[in-house]
Amino acid sequence: MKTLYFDNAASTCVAPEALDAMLPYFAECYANASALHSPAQRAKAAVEEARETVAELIGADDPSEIIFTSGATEGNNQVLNTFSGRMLVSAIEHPSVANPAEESGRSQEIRVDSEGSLDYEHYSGLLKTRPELVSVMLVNNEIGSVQDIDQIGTMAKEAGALFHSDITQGVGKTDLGLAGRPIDYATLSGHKIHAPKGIGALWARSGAPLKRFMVGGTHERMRRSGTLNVPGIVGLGVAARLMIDRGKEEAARMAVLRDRIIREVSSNVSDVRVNGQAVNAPHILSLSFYRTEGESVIINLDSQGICCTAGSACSSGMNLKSRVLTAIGLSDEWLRGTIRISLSRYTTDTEVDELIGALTSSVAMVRSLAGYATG
Amino acid sequence: MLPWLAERFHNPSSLYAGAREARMAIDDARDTLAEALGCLSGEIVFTSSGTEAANLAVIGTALANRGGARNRILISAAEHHCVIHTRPLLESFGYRVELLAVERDASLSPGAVEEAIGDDVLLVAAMHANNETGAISDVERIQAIAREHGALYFCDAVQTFGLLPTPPVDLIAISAHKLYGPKGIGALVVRAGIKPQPTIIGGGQEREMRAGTENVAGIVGFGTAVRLAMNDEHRVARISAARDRFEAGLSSISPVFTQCTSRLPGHSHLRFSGLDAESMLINLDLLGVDAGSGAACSSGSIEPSHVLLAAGWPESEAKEALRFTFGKDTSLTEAVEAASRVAQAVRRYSSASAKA
Repeated sequence: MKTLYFDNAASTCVAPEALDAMLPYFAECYANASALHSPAQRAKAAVEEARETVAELIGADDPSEIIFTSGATEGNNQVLNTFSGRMLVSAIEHPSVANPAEESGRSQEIRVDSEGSLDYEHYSGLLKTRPELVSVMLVNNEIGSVQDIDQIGTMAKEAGALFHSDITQGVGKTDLGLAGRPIDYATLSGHKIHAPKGIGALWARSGAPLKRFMVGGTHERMRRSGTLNVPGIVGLGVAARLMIDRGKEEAARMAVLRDRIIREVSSNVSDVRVNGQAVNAPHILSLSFYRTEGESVIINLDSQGICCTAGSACSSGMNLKSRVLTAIGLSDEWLRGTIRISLSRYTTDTEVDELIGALTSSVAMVRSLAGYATG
Repeated sequence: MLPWLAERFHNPSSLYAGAREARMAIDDARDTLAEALGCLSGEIVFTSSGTEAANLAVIGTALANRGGARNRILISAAEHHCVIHTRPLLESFGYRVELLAVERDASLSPGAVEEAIGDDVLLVAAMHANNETGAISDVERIQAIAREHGALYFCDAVQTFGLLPTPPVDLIAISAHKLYGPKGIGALVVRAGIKPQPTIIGGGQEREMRAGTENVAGIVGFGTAVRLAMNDEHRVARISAARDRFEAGLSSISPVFTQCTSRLPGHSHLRFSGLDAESMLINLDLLGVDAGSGAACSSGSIEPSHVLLAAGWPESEAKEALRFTFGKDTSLTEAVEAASRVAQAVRRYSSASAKA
C-alpha cells in the first residue's frame, strides 16, 4: 500500500537534490570544517555557500547574520534566553517559544482572534508594559494562519522592543525580504522545507543582542559552538535554493489543492468548519468535524495508508487539548474533531482525490459508530 | 541512514505507521548505545553534538541545583572548551569554579580531585581521554572519590567511546562523528535519579530532557556506528599498530613525543624542537597529510593550546605541538608513508628556516 503523506507541517521528505548534495559530505569529504587542512577547507566552503543561500532565501543582508543550529527549537530557545526583561509572545506559539517564555516568568501572552490573527488591541495594551522582546510566529503550525509581521514588528519597534518571528512554517512560500522589514530575529528548521532533520538556522540582524547559547569552540563566530553538521548544512543550502527557485510557484499550486479539499469535503460532509482561514498559508489546512472523534479519523486514515495529524506532531499522543485551537476559541465539540492536512511540492492531484474520498468515508464511519446525528 | 532521510522521513512524534517506525528506529539505536555503555536505554538523551551534551551536563546540573549547599564545581584544567567555557556562566549562577591542575600529559590524577573535593562540591568534570594528547585519566577512581563526597561526576568520553570501555559514571557525553557516525548527533548519559535542568525546551522529546524534532537519520547512523565498533574486536589493535608504525618511522628526525602514562590507541602527540606547528601543518597539507595542532574547534586561533599550558608546558613548546590521529581504516602503508612525508616536511622546514 502506497503511503499518502499529508503531514508536511510535521516533517517533509528530504528533496532528492538535497540528499544527493549531502552524500559526499558523509563519505569522502567528512573533515571537520574547523580544521586547517585542505579537505576541511572544502567542507568550510560548502558551509559558507549554504549560508549565502539561506541568507538569500530569507532576504538577509549579510550571510554572517545566519547561524546554523540543530533546528528551530534550539534557535527559539536561544533568542528567548537572550532576554532578561519582559517578553510578549502570541497565544499560538510553538512550544519551543511558549515553554521558554512561560518558564522565564517574565512573559505575557498576546491573544488571537477566532481566525488565529493577533488581537491588535490586546497587543497594543500589552506593549505599554515595555517588553524587551516580542515573539510572534509567521505561520501557525496547526491552523496555518499567517501574521502580519510588518504591522507587529512596527508596533514592537515603536514600543522599543525587539521582534522575533519563528518563520519555520512560512519560509519558502513567499518573499520574505527580512532585511527590509521591522524584524530582528527569525528562526527556521530544515526538515520543514525538504532539508534533513537536525539542522536549522537562526537569523539575528547585525547589532541585535544574542546570548551565546551553546558554549565551547569558536564556531559560528562564537554564537553557537559544536562541530558543524556539514552534510546537514549542505542539505539545508540546496533545499533553500530549491525554495528560491520554485517556492512561490509551488505555493500557488498548493493553494489550489487546499481550496479543492475545502470545497469538496465541505460538500461531502456536513458540520465541518475550516480553522484560521482569513489569511492562510497555502500548505496547512485545519478542518474541524463537529462532535467527531478526530483521533479515530486519523487512525482510520492511517489504516488506509494516509498520514495526517490531529494537532501538531510534538503533542501527538499526549492527549493534551491543543493550545492553539483553544486560543482561537474552538469549543470542545469542534476541537476534538480537528484534523490537520498539510501539503508539499510532492503532493499530487491524484493523492488529493484519494484523501478527499478517504476523509469523507472515515468521518462518516466514525460518526455512525458513535451514533452521530446531524442537525 | 539513507532510508530515514528519503522515504522514511516521518516525524517520530506523529501517530501513523511511518512515524511509529521512525520511533522504533530511534529506540533501537538507543538500545544499542545502552548496550555499549552499560546503562539503561532510558538514561540516554540524544543531542545535536558532544558540545551540547557536555553543556547540558554541566550547565544543566548547575541550574538544577542553584542556590543549594553545594556551591563548588571542580573542572579539570585540560577539559575541552565546551566544558571550560561554561565557567563564566556557572559563576554567574553563584558557583565557585575551581580548575584542577593536570599532569604534564594533560591527564588528571585522582589525587588532584581528592585534594580539592569536599562536601560542598556539586560536580566534578574531568574527561576520560584528552582530545589533544590522548592521555587517559583514571575516571573510575575519580568517580569513586566524587561519590564518597556526594558529588556528581561528569565525564566527557567523546574521544574514548568506541575505543575503550566507558566507565559507569553519573553523566557521560559522547559524539557520533568521532566514531564514524555522522556530525550533528551526540548523546548524554544521565544516570537514573540525576536530573539536570534541560537547556532546550518546548516539545517534550527525549523525556523532556531535550526538545526538538529528533534527528532520526543521525540517530540511526549513530546506532549503527556503535554497533560496528562493538563488533570490531580488532579495531584498537589495528589503530595502535598503525600509530606505532608511524611513530617508529619518525625516529630518524628526532621528534619529541609527549609521554603519556596511558593513552588512546590512535593518538600520536609530538613536537619538533624549533619547528612551529602552524607552519608544519601547512607544509604537511601541501604534502597531502591532514593533521592538527590543538583541537580542530580552535584551529585558526594563534593562541597556544589551553590544554598544554594547563599541563605546564612552556608557550614555546606548546606552539610546536602536533597531533596525528589514526583511524580504523588507516593502513600500515599509509602510516609509513605519512611518517616519510612528515620527515620530508621537517627537512624542508628546517632548511627553509636555516636559510632565513
